[in-house]
Amino acid sequence: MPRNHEEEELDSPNNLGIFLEVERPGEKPMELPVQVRNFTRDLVTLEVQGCCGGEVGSSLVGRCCNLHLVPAGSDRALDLPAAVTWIRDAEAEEDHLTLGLKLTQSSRITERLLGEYLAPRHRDLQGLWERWEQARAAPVSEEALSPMEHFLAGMGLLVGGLTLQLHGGKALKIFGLAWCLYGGVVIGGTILWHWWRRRRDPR
Amino acid sequence: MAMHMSRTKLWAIGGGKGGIGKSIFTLGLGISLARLGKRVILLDCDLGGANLHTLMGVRYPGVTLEHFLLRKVSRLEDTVIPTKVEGIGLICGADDILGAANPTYAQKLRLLKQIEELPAQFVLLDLGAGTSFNLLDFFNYAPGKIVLFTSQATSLQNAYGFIKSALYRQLSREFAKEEELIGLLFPEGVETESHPPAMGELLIWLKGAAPAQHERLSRALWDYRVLLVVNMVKSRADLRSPEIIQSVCTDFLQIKAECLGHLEFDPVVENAVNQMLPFPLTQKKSRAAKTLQDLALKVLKASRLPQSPWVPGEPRVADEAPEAVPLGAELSCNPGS
Repeated sequence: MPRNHEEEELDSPNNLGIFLEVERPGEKPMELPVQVRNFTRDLVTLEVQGCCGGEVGSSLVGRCCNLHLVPAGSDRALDLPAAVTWIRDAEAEEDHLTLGLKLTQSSRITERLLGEYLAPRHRDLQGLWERWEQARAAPVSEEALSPMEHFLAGMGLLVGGLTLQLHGGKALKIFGLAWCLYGGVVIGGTILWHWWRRRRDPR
Repeated sequence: MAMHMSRTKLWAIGGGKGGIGKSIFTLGLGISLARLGKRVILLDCDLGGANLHTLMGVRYPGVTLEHFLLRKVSRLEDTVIPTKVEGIGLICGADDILGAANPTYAQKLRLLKQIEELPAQFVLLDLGAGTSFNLLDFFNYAPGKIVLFTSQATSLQNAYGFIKSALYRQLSREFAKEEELIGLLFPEGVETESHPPAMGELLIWLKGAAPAQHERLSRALWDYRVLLVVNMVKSRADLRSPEIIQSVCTDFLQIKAECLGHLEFDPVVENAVNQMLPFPLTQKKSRAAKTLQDLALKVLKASRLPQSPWVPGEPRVADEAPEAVPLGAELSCNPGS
């Protein structure tokens, strides 16, 4: 029978080898057991339980740290350098706090790794955002030429036509004239199209 | 609830998020279908926030859904008001009475029953924003399901949330008498804000443990189909959004979402709305009107096509946990579609 979320969360990588190592000048780095609650690109939200609160917590803001995690199927730990950007204490529990990290570097691999530590009930949303990021990152092929490319093509024809007109033989002058006319039409058309589009939709 | 018409006459247009153009799309699709010679009735199911009539230029509707719900009018057919567009009748939503936004079960049942009897070839339901049970019931009742969204991140999220909520609502109704299956689908209870288990995992487990239930659930998922329409498209990149929804629906809900098409952003639509004029009438040659005509043809075709039959033993379920697959170079809703 499929397990419920509470069971899954107990067994999830959330509880397997993830902690935050916060650097302290002149002292041994502080190790905090954390759970990943949210992430978006280079921003990660972590929950810390049963460790510190109040003044200790707020003193962490601005500190450099390393998010230490073990990718699934690997025994090698990975450290993600980051900085603590904000801290919120839970009102009800003193030893319970939420903190925000800004990762020094982020990539699709980092996001996928962090996704493994997210609660299972968010898997589909995680899938949605992964695909969304992919779609945004993938290049879009343009079928048609852009207005600038049209304009440059027209200019090319015009210049080529003029060159033939000025330096070409008698037979080539006809082509030169045709190129000039065609280039002029392309340039004029592009300008008119651009102007009309801007009038229709100023945004 | 499962008494569907033999041909797809009833189409519901939903999307979860407000302000994405559901009403305008419904109106445009209705007018385009009417232009194809079909008799169309537009029913504003945005109970509590109805404004389809305003888009049609009707400021003060004489009769609305309120009259039907409060039994001032016995037949739903009598609430249809004629419009200036030939072939289109309109049933205005009720937003003036307290409680109209939350009809009772009996009122809802009476309404759904009479929707079937409306004298039209197409009945288009314009649903409001959100994922209330009433709204999901209207959506699920319609054999033709269109989910409208824009390429904005919030709209995509709401569209997926809407599809997911509607699917689980449908399953809760369909398997209401199967306590064991309901317990698996809704471990925290049907009426609570629960986080159901991943459908793929559930199907894999059922396949071995309860083949009969696996078959029934696979069939229900096979039968549940939605058509996607992207609105306000401004660039080719926007056309990738249905692919995202399709992929997530297949991987995490095990249902098929097909792309019906897209509508480009067109400023003439906004101008028409401000003038309370149905834009496909005033802007017949606009891009939006032309695209809507193509979409109407697709809806017409889809309404005639029988759904491909379910083949036992061929579930859509993946054998492994779903992973984000690279979005293909081919766009599902390319400009030519």
